[in-house]
Amino acid sequence: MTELFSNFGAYDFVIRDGMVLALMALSIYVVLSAGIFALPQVGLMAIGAYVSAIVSLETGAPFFVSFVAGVLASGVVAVALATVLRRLNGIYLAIASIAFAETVRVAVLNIPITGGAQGLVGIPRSANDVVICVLVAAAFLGLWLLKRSRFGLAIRAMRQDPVMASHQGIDVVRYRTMLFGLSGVLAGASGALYVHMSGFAEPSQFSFDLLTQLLAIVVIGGSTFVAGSLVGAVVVFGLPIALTGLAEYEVMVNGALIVLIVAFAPGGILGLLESVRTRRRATVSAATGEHPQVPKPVTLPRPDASPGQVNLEVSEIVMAFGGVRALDQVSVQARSGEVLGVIGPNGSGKTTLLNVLSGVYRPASGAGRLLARDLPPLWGRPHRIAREGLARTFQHIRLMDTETVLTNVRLGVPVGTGESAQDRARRLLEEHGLAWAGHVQVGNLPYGVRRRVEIVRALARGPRVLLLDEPTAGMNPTEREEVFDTIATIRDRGVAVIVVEHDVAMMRSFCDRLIVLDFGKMIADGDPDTVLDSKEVVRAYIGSGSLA
Amino acid sequence: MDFLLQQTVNGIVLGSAYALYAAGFGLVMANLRIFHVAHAAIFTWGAVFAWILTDQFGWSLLAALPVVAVLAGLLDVLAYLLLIRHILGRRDHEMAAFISSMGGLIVLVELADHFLGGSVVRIGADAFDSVPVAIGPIRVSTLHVAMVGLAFVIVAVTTWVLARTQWGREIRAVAFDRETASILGVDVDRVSAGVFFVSGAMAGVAASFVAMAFNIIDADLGSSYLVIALAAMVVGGFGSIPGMLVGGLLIGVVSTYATGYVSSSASELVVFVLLLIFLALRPEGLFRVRAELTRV
Repeated sequence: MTELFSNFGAYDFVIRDGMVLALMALSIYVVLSAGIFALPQVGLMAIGAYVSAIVSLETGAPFFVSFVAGVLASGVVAVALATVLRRLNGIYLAIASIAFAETVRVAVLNIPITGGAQGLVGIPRSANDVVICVLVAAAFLGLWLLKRSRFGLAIRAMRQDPVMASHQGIDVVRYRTMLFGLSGVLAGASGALYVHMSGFAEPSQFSFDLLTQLLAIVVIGGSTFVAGSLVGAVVVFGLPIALTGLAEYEVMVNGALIVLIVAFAPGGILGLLESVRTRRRATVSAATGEHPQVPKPVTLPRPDASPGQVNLEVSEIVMAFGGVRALDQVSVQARSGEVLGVIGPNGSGKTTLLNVLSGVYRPASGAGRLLARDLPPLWGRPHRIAREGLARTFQHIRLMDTETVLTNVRLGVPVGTGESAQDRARRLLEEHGLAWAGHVQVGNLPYGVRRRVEIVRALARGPRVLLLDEPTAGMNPTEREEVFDTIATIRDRGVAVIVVEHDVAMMRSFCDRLIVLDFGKMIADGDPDTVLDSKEVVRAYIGSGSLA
Repeated sequence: MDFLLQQTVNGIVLGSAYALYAAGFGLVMANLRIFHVAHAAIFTWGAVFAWILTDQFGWSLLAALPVVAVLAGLLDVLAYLLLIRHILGRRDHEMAAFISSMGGLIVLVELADHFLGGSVVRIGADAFDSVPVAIGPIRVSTLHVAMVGLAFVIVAVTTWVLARTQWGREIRAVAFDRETASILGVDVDRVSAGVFFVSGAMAGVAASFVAMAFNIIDADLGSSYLVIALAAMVVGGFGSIPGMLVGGLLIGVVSTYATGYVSSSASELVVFVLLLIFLALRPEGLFRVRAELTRV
């Protein structure tokens, strides 16, 4: 009863191998789909395989116990590896992790308990077909559910833009460590399964060749889809059967297939299918043609300036890049119910200031407070600052272009608001006249609308401090007016708003207070009219020699 | 003491071949920020070319070297055109280029395997008239002296080209910012192809020496030295050519010591552990510090 695949005649081994390697491919999928270019999986698989094999052989423990031991061992090693390699990214991380896998293989060759080059034999073949099916199915189902959860959304955000993700309260480092751990668990599981299926373990199984085969599976199937590993495994294992006449070229065909897929269908087979489907859907919606009128936001009168409490305060910030002092002893206070404008010539340090406030940079010196929190311990950790009640937009719009407006706004909703993220996102879009765009992909929207979506995402956090970096750049005058009206509404709800802009006339009429930066120094702070008439500001903008 | 000296010299000989392998790898990595694993297959093919010219055509190794360099360089340019070029503009080009290059590695290694009929071939000893030389207690051969000398010359010339010539400036401009370089009138495609050519040529020379010195050529030749080349590159610092010479020599010496004093299987382990330590503690290597700022 437990030999499900024996009906397939000579192919039963191929099917079992394919299933275990599909599981293994998932361990690559979980990191690649988050944009983490790490390939330690073959080494982790070896750890799971050997630990479980040794537990079985030395203690005679049942399959379940040795399986769990293998899974735990590789999971723990994976987390430790993530910690050791936390500073690496991109190709450096890939190299480091491949080196780790090779180190494990060479270590296995040199340790007596692993049996060296001969390997281990006589491992109980206790992983029958039912066990394999159940475990593989559980892994696929689990990852599919994970992808649909908030965690999955956070991972997609991380893949597209880690800096943006961290400003939505996502702890990128912790997520990365967790994904490494998950990858280790999956790799360990497939390793433990594999040795208890074949009955032996030898170091040459866990070589670079296995990695190339696994990557082929993931890439051919589609590296951002859970089912991609399954589809890829079917192709990689099915092709040799289909090409029996060309048996000696099957590896070469795999290689060529990888090159072709990367060149012509980067999303893999599933990505290809999806793009065909969405293209068809897009033509349908274009044909029905809808675009409800954008309701004009109500312009609120400017309240008599009565600034409230100080929500955000930094003092004597120094931020240096090499020898350049991008910010030199800058002190800023943002009060609730006040729009604070930051102006200054290009390169004066405006965006640097916002990056310090939102936690992207660690200033060389300075102090600060966000609501009741001391800021310096939070510098360099934007996710903590975001969770403390600060939200921002970016000079270059940072949205997930391939996701819908609704999904993007949902990403901004913090955990534990009581309201479901979906409802809150919908309500906010409605309030800001963007309900019509909810299901449109961000990448298909005009620039001005995308800017507004980014502002709505920032508002989804329910921030007490809002930073806007050139929110009206590239907009026409009507759109600008609309954005500044929105800003006024936000301000009137008691949020402290800091706006960086170039349009001095607009800033004069909309801001409650202005500060002016020039070469990293703050040269003015106060009422817009007074500030803009000051000699020093005029000099910074126009130059001292001018007659103007 | 004599044993230690002899081991050091052997390590330097070995290390100079590693250094050339790593330098070719690092050249592409530093200038295009891609992990071109197919470089390992170019290395293998370099050894195969050397075998064809010496063993089949009866050339001497020194006469074959320039031809091997050109052939391996051209093969690498072909790899660039087929595997890398169309991917460079993509958002996730680091990952895509690695995977595409890996596909190329598989194909090229398989082709080599079919070409060699799955067997191991050897370059005859008459390809290089090697004479043993004794310097005090240390014994080397003229082949070893030629290997080390040529590695130093190639590294010196490449460093000079990168630092002082117009072509070197163009390469560095492309490395810094591809788009801006193209706006400033640099033919980015030609520069990239040139980098691949030089990188492939280095692999060809290194492979010829390794093939001659170890007297073994099979389809997995490049892959089996891949991680060692990576180690040399990491220790020396990504992108610094003289750094990779030092890295290669260091790895060569360390692995020879491990072989001499512990065992031959321990030598790989020692190299890999050294690599992991560097990656964890000093990923920028001994030489170059690249501070990549987060831009928002």
